[in-house]
Amino acid sequence: MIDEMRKVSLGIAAAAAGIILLFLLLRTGPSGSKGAKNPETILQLGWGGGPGEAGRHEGGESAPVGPMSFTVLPSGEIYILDQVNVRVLRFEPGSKKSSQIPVGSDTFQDLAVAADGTIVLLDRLVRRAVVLMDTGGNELAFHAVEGDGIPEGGAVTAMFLEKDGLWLEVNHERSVRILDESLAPCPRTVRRGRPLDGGSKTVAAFLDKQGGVKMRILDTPTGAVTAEKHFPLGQDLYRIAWIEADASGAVHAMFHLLEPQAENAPGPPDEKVLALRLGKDLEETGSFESPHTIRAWEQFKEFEVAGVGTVYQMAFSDQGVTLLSWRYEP
Amino acid sequence: MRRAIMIPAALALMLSASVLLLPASAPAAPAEMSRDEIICLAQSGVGFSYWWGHGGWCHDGCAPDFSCSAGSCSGSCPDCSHSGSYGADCSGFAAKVWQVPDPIDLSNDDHPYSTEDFRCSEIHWTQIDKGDIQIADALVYRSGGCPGSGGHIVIYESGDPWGSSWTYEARGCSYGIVHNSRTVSSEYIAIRRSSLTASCVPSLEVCDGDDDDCDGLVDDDIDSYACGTGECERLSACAGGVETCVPGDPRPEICDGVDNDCDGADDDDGACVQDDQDVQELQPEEMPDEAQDAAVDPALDDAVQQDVTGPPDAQVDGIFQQPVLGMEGGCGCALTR
Repeated sequence: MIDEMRKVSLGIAAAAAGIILLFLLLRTGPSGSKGAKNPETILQLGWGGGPGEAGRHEGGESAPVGPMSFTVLPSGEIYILDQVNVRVLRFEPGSKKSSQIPVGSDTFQDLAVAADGTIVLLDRLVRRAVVLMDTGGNELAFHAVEGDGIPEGGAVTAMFLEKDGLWLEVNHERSVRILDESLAPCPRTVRRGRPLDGGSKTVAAFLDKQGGVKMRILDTPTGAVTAEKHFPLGQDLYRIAWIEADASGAVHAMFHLLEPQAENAPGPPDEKVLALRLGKDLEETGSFESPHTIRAWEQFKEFEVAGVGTVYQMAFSDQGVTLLSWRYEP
Repeated sequence: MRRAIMIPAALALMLSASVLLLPASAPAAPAEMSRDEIICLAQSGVGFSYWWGHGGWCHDGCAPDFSCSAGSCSGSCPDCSHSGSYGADCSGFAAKVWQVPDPIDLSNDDHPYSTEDFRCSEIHWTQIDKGDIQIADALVYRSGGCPGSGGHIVIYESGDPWGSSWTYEARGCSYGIVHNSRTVSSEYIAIRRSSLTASCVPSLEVCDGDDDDCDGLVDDDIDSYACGTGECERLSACAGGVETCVPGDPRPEICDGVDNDCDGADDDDGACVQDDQDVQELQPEEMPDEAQDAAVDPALDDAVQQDVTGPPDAQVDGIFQQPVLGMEGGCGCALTR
């Protein structure tokens, strides 16, 4: 009898495995769509304040936060904004040993690193300024965020350091250039969406209130829509996590999906990030799914797209901070 | 006689039982409030300090009143120190803004509930589906669930086009009370205050023919964007619920420092060749008055140049004025808003 039950169980298991395999084979996406290889963990930090650790604040009647931002330079250097420990952690390429740059405040929320090594830090809520620092943590300059195009610091939703200067995104709708290519203040310029093809185009996205996302590519000089696509992601879409173009002009869009859950359902909801790589007509050319989504410990920036198309993700777990690198198959 | 005694005894027993059976903790409903009134109180706290275990600040209508010191916080709470008599932590802020359990002057320091109460009980509020959240509802998190240890609560204002949330929150010791767009993880649940009165539900004003932000005006405060280049550059306009942007018509390039034919280049197509020759042939007395002055006094040349370009941050009717001629340094910004 037990043997019979084992046979039935094995049969069910084999059938289930077959169905899963068939599903995986069928889930190839549109023609020409490539998957990303399993992510490479390029950095792992435990929670804490020591070397090789990053700080997290639990939020005893205040906002729980983790490291707010990060950036990976083309050289492979990694910078983690460990603002809870009032510092930036800097890792040489391939090294697990860090040096630290004191930043003097725990209210910075984003960072970027200029080609000359200048560190650009955003404090949108308290000083409401962009602060420039050298690698010794000495403040070089600070520039007010609020002004033309930015009515309040809390409206800033991203910071981009580009060849033509520093851009602050406002309310996920438009970006304002506040510093020029030499990181000096300049007359403010406004554009819609996020840059594409070196700024000749921009990409904009918004939730369509039906559980999907509408994306548009606009020609920057004329404002003409050159591509538009609707992504009907169903009722699972929680938010748009990130959109950024790589140097080839491919647009990388990350959508935070959240399975609807019955009231009082046991366990946490099923969450994931669906990442899409999109061509010039917003056609899908690649995709991957990440099981890592934002936790209660707030972070200002979760993703970064390198010029070569590598997608970096900073993920938090109970154990610490993991920096992942997703590369699409050639 | 014995019966007479028995009846009052039974009544007393029943009354006692009914008292015991009544939900002793069932509170009276809080006073009615509109969502607008809640947001007004939330706005009035922005800029005051974070004060762990407290809740109170001064206000002048919907604006903070900093004639009362905003106070300051330092350290890492709960082992933090606070100076001043005003400020709030996140739950003190939420209770004050929601005016629960009872109406109370904002300046009276009061802290009736913690995030454990907001997350784990339904006293003057109820848990709602996060998809139904509206302005003046709250998002609350408790580490480890209920009862958990530590947590956070924010007052929800609106969602942005990407699904992030505009919130008011007593964010933390170094931040104080702030208004900001932020992400909120799925670990936060949504709750709604009891006894809300109906009111307009404001959202981001967009070009759709509706009064989205409930200010009584349709399609006002719409952000415009620029299209076209050079002289053809125009700003978008919202009309009839539709936002459009139509670049101007190009015209033949002439030598005037401007991209007349809207191809991205100023004075190209040989537009200045003839003009340059003409200028070289001109004697100072043949030039226009201003140019004559500049030819005599180079300092005046700078003044004329500045007069043409205007100060970098000049604005005309809310439109950003950009350098017109090629300025040295700066970023040569071309687009306007």
